[in-house]
Amino acid sequence: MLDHRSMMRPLQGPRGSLMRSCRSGPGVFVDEVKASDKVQELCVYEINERDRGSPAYLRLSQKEVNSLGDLLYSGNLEKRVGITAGICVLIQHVPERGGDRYEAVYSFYFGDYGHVSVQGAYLTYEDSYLAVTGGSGIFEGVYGQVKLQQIVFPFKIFYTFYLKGIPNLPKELLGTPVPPSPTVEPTPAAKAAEPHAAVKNYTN
Amino acid sequence: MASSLGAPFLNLPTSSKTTQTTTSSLIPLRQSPSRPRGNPPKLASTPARRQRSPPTTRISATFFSARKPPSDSGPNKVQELCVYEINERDRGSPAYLRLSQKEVNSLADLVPFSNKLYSGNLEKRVGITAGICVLIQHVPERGGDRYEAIYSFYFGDYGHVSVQGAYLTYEDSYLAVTGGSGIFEGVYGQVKLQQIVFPFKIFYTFYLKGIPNLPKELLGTPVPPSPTVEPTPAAKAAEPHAAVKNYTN
Repeated sequence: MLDHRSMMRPLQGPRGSLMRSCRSGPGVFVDEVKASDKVQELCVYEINERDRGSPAYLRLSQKEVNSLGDLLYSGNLEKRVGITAGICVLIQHVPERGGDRYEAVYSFYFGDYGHVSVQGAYLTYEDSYLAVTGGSGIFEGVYGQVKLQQIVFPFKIFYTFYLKGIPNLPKELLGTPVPPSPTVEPTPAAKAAEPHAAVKNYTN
Repeated sequence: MASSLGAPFLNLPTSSKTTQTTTSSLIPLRQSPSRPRGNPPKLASTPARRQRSPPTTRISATFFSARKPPSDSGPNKVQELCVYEINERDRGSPAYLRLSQKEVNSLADLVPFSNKLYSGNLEKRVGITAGICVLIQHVPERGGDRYEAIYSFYFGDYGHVSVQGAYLTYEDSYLAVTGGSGIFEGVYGQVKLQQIVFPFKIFYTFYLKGIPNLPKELLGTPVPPSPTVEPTPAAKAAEPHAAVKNYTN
């Protein structure tokens, strides 16, 4: 119960495993979430192709500030969807894990579809969960969390969003994700952002 | 850095508003039944929008009295969570980046920071805060500064809560709870920030909605804020019984 990761299994439909009604404290009755809190999973790959001047590492004293801006592809790596953009603030170096803890505040841009903003911990040495703080376009009103999995630090990251509060996502963004591994690459068409391999007005 | 943050502020007296018995007049009551973002007409027209509360729900002002509201139920239930953020000066924090290159604190200065976090009763180490303050303006008539703060509270294996809003060195403020992970996944609400000893001790009262009941380990009668409050020695040492599981460090 204490391991929050065990509570983050992808949930299809009603939040069954967390749904409970109980009495707690001074007679407060908790009426748990309703079926309307449908969770939608969205997977994307963030890839740094090292052609955007990113990251820009500003070594401003011991607390470095990192700005990001990488390319974003759909989970099946067949479509270029847009970019990420934001900032990581180095919080501490973690020598016993051989990496760093950052506080990350950034957004994922999906072209004409809109964007999703997130905030949370980026650990270079292990996976983490960030909070989904909001969005625009089809993501307007979104909430939930996103799992960040590093594949090749710092060039390839795989995200699994657990999104609530929005209409069904378009098929173009869904589709069986390529399982994460160090050698995954977007299709050449997606890399070239050819019209059939990119979302409309993909963010660039 | 210390000079810019103001040694005179180190003995900032406890604000008169620091009691737990905050009345509704002190807290901007978020009376709107739906989440305080977006336009109500839009909410009504998009059925897939989060149905956090029935449109006719009214939140009574008794919510914000010292006792937990005994009669509230349903999705608008507010849970109060209190924590202490304490800078023990052993994390290299804050790092005042005087990017404005001006003598006086000015717009463009950045202050990344990370401090230790303890439960409200100061008996358990829960984790850390981590984030950044952007200096917005110096407020000479109040003897302090306005920052825009974006940061997170980490609670070990429980997850984290992210916040955003104003940090005023001269008075209390409310920040928005923008989201969370783990047991805090989907959370919304606001948090009250009360400075006790600027900038080393801050007391927070979270008003959280949209999540299951918080674990008892994080709750418990908070120690009333005062300049001399200290975590228990066991919590400071993060001994196993005085720290949450895998407390963030």
